[in-house]
Amino acid sequence: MTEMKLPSAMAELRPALGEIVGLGLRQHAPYFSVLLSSKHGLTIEVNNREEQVTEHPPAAGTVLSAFDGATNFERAIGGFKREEIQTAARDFIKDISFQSYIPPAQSERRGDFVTPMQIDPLDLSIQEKLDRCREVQQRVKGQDARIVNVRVIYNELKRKAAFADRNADLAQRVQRVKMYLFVVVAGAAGDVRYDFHIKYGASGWEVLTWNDDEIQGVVDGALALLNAERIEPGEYRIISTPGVSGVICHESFGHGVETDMFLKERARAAHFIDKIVGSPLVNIADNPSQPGSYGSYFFDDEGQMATPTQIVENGVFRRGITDRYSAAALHIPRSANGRRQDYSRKTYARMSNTFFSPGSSTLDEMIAQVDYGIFLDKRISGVEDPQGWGIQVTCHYGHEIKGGKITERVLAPIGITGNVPDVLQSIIAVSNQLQMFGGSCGKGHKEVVPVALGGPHLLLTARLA
Amino acid sequence: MLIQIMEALRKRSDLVGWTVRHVQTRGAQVYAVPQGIESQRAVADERYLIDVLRNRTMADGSPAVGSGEASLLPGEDISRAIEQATLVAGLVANPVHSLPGPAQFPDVPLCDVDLQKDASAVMLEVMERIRAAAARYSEVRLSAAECFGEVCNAHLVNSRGIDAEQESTQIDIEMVLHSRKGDRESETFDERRRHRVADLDLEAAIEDRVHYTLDSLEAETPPLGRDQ
Repeated sequence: MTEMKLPSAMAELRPALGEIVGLGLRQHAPYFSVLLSSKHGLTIEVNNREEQVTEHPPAAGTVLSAFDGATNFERAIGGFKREEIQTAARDFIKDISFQSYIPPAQSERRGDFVTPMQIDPLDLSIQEKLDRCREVQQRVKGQDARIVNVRVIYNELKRKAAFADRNADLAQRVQRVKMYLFVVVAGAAGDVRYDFHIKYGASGWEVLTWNDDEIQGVVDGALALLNAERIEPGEYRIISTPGVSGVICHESFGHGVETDMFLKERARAAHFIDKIVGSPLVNIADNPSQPGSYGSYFFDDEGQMATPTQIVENGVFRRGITDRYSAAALHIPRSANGRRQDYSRKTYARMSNTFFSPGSSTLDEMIAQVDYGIFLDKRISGVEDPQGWGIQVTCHYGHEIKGGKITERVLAPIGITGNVPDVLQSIIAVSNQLQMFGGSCGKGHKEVVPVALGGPHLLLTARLA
Repeated sequence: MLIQIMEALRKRSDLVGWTVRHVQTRGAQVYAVPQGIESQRAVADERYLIDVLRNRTMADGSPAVGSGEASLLPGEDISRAIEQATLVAGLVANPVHSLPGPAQFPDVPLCDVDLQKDASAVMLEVMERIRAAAARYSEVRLSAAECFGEVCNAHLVNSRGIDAEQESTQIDIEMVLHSRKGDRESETFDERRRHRVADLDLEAAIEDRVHYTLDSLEAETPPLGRDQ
C-alpha cells in the first residue's frame, strides 16, 4: 500500500486540529474548519534540442475558515506552525459579529486516503524520471525520416491535505501524473505538422508506459496531417471521439452548472432546473470519486466526501455542482466540488471528472449510420459561455465518413460552433465505451485546478468550420 | 534560514554564481457577489527562491553557462533544493553571462502606505468604491468583483555581493458587469493591477466598462463580403 507521506510539519500539526477547531467555535463562529494543504509539482521536457526540469512554485499552508451563512471569513497562513495557527484561530474572528446560522447536519467523516499506485513518483529521483523521458523520446525519434522533433513532457502534481471541522478528521494524498508525446514532421514542401497523445491518471508511473502501436499511431497521425485539407464550413453529421465529447460536456454542462455562477447570475442553466436541455440519450455526471481519473480526490477542500453528481439525466437538467457558499446561499444540497487552487486562494464550485455517461450503441453501429459526415478525432480546446450558451470546440483534425465508413481523407483543423441545447438535442446515438482525459481548468483566467473530462463517442449534428 | 541557504551555496564548488530571494507576503482578499460580501480573507506566505549558475559547454565546445532554480518553503530540505537546482542547471547551455553586482537604483514609489498599515481595511474600501460606482448606472449590474491587496517584502542576496531589501505593494481587482436589453445580454470582464490604490482611477475605469457593456448590446455583426 502506498504511504501517506505528509510533510513532517503537517503531520506534527494534524493531531492538534480538533483543538484548533474548538478555539474557533469558542469565538462563536457558527461553523469553523481547518485545512492543511500542500501542493508541489514538477515538469520535465525532453526534445531534440534541449532538456528542461522545472519545479512548479510550491504552495503549502493552513486555512482557517469561519462561516455564518452570509460571509466566509478566512485566514490563510503559510506553513504549519502550531503556535502561529492557534493564535490566529483565537484572534482572527474575535471582532466579527457573526449572523445567526445553523450549518447543515453532517455525518462523522474520518479516514486517511492515498491514491493507489504501483510506482510512486516520490520513490523516483529527478534523474530517474529524466532518464525515463529520454528513453521514450529515443524510441520515437527514429520511427520515420520525416520526423523533425519529438517532445516528451512529463508532469507530476502532488496534493496533500488534512481537514478538520466539528465532524471531520480527514487526510489525503492525491498523486497525479501526465505525459505528453508530440511528434513533429516536415513534408517535402517544407510544411510542418504535428500530432500528439497524452497519458494521464491519478496514479503512479505505471500509467505512463507506451506500446509500439500507440507510438506508431502518433507518428501516422502527424504524417497524415501533411495531406490534410480544410473543411468546407457547414452543418455536418459528426461522430465525436471521447476526448471531443468530453470538451463539449466540460464547456456546456460543466462550467455552466458551477453554482457560484448561478449566484452571480452568470449562468443560463440556473433557469433550466428540471427542464429538457438535450436528447433523452444525454446523461452528464461529475464524479470526483472515479478511480484513477486525473480529476479525482477523496474529499474536497471543504471536507465534503467525494461522491458522484448527476447533472443531466435522460436529457433533463437536474442540478449543478456546488461549493459550500453557493449551496448555502442557494439553499441546495452540497456536492463535493469546493476546490481551491492552493491554500492562498478561496474555494469556488469547480468540476472534477465531468463526462457524458456511456450509452448502448457500438462505435461500428454509429459509423454505419452516417452516409456522409466527419469523425472528429482529437480535441485541442474549448471555450465556455455559461450565460450565452454558445459553444466553441477546436479539434486538431477529423476524418471524412462516407457511405458508413471512415475514409483516409483528413480535414484539419476543425472548429465546432453552436448553441448548447441545439447541440445536445441533436445527439442520436451514444457509444458504450467511456474514456477519460486529464487536464487543467481555470475559472476565468486563473484558479487553475486539475480536472478530467470525457465520455463515449457521440453521434450528433453540428456546425463545423 | 536565509543564512543557512547562503552557507550551503558557498560550499558548492560546482556553482559559478547564485542568488537567493527571501520573499514574504501578506495581504487581504475581498470577494463580492450581487447579494453582498461573499468572502474576506487574510493571506500570508513566505518562501525562498534559489537560482544557481554552472559552467557548461556548447555543442561546438565553446563555453556556456546553465541556470537552475528551486523554491523552498520554511523548514524544507535545503540541500535537496540546491541539488535539484544544480541538476537543472547542468541540463542547460546558454551564452556566458554573469550575475549583477551591487549598484544604485532609482527610487521608484512602489508602496501604498495605507495598504502597508491595514490591507484588509483598504481592500474593503476599494470594494465598496467599486460597488458604489457600479450602482450609479441603473442599466448595468455588478455580477461579481474581487479585490486583492498584497504587501511583499523581498530580501535579495547573491554571490557577487548584492544584499538588498525592498518592500512593495500590489493591488489586483477584477469585476464582471452585466446588462440586458430585451433578449440581448452582454457581459464585460475587467482586471487591473497597480502598485497603489491611488493609481487605480476606479470610478473612471468603471464608467469606461459600463459604456463598453452597453455598447456591446447594440453591436451588430459586420456584413459578409468584400468592400468594393
